[in-house]
Amino acid sequence: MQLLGRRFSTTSTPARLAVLRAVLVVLAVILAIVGAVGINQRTNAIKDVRTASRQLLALQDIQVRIVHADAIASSSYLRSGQEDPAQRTAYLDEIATAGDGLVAVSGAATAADLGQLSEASRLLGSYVGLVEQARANNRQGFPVGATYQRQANGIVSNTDPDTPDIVSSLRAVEASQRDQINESLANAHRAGMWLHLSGWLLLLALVLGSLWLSRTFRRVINIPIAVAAIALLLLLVIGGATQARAVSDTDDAVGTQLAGADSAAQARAAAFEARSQEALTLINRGNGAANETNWLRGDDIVTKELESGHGSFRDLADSATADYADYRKAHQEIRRLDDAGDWDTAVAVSLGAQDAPDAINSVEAFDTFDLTVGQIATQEGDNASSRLAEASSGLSSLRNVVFLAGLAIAVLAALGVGRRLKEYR
Amino acid sequence: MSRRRDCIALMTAAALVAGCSGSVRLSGAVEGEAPPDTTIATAQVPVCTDAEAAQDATRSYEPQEPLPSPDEIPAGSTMADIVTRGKLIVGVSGDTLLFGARNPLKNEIEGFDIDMLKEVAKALFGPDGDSKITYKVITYADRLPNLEAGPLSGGVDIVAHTMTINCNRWKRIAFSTTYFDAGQRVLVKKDSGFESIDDLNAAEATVCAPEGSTNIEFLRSNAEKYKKLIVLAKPDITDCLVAMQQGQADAATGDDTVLAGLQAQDPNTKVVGDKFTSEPYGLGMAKDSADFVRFVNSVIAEMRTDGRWKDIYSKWLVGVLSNDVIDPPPAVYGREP
Repeated sequence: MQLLGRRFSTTSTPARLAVLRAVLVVLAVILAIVGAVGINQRTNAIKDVRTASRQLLALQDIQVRIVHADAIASSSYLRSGQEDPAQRTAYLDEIATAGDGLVAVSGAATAADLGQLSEASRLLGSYVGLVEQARANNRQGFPVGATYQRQANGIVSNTDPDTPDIVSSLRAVEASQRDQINESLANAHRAGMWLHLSGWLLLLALVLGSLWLSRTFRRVINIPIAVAAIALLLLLVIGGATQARAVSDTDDAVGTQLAGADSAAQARAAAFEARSQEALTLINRGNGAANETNWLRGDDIVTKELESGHGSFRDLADSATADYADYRKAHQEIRRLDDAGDWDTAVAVSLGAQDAPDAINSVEAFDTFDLTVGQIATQEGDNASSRLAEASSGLSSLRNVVFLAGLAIAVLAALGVGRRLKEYR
Repeated sequence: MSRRRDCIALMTAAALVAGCSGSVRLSGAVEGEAPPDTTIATAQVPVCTDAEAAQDATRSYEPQEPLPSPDEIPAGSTMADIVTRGKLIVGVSGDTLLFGARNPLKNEIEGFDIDMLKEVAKALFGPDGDSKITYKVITYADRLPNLEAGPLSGGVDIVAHTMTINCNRWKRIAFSTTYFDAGQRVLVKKDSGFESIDDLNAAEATVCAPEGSTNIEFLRSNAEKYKKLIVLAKPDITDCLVAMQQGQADAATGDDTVLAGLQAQDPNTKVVGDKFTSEPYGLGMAKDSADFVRFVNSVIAEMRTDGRWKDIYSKWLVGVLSNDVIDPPPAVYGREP
């Protein structure tokens, strides 16, 4: 108590008033600082969620482009020398965009992720080389082209954990982005507690202080302190609600929209992988049992991902499911034809030159499915991104309000207690 | 959405200290599952006794003499059923270059095996017989089951699929006489200087062979003789050609017929050395259609003598397996149905 001044004894009323003033001012300044810092942390956490989400969506875009390119390459192989120039252009575009995408995502990657991404880049280079070898052999009618095509496909994805592949590398980086999103989300939940802790403590101090003042000085209300208390209560209620809204917006953006985009992208990637495997069962001429197993695995992912979520796009998801069901029927017909030794018709159905029963065209059904799922992925991703941007921008002004309000409460508290203190001078 | 409103209400009214508990998480990628393989293992495969195995497996039924002309096919015979149906249903390979492979430019299956089948079809239907063939591309493993099922149950009449005649297979199907004598040899790079497997062994070269094949078994069971060879196992013989093209292997070993197909795809390679195993190929037919086997044996007997066999050999294999036309393998008869 020495610090408070030599003129007062610690038990005298003026000394108590000085202590009360100091406590209230310090708590209010703490509120201003801790509250603003907490909100700032929350804002940053939400921004981190957004950054990692965009990185995740960019990675999935790369993955989809590569498996799409591979599906085109595998199907084109079945056309031998007569590949469709539009398909060839689409293949080259997807590879080029995927390559650019890998460079772009590497810029924002951690050291661990960078290792996986450069592995993916290196593998993409080998992949392109093998596809060209397959193509060159195929154009001369050499069956060894099929082996190159199979090796190329194994570079895009394979089930052997010891053999590196592009999809596994990308999925590892995607998993680390998901972890990053979940961690930032947890940070966003935690960061706001300091405003509440310091705010409610200050409010308690203001209420107890004004009770003591009214008892000691027999005045019902100390106006500055009462104003400070009311302002603080409003700040806590409105600030709490604003923050809660921001956090729940973030939860929603991640739990609904981003999860929807994530799931749609995975469905798309799995479907393209399945399409490649379908072509490989035909390229491998009846030795494609392993490829059919891979097809079934991809089919399972598509089914699971289409069933889950997409609440806001249920209509699109339902129409994608219907188109995929048509494609699945066409695939079953392709397998039936090939297993019965009618390879030519199986290929014709797979390439869409001939319809499967019920007038189902495998290429049209698949492309319509892909277009719809692609729409879901893009829209959900855009919605998640803009929702997260809104969530964090709403908090920036709250941070300034909390800081200024904290300082104003400090001044009001000092004024209120100061008036009583003056009566002793 | 209701969870979200609850959360806001809770925060606003009670103004809890901490935020609403963070139960939202982005779940990981979904893993796909494939149903277990439901392929039923083939029932007990009959195996020859030692005494049976000691006999010459290439012995087939006596040829039908004389070979009936297309309009004299005996009524009630297997051949008459085929002619009535108007189609000869055959099981072939689709990717064994020079023997049975799709020519993508013509979109037709062609090769030595296919030409053999065309001759059988002509004997059944007349000169335009080759247009009355229905091709069914089947795997190695499907060759016997397709003959056992028969054409009425989705199977085939006859199989020409680089199929080695052996005693165990005779228990399930019937074979024609040997129409081609294949054997294991080596494929090397043209400028490598290797002329035989012994050269490769002496140079401690890397030789590629398909895992699980009789070809790799041969190297392993003769490990003492070829102890310096480095054996590289790959899933398929075409993987061995890729391994050679990518510099991982100096040579590939397999049946000369298959190696010939690889050589045809890569002019920088050649088949060298003598055969160190014998793989007599026969046309496969149903076990109970001895009449058809005798008919086919008669067709092959004519082809051996009238030059048609040599024409087919010359069309596909001269310059690949040998520089000149060779003689067809002799027929061995004496088996009783």
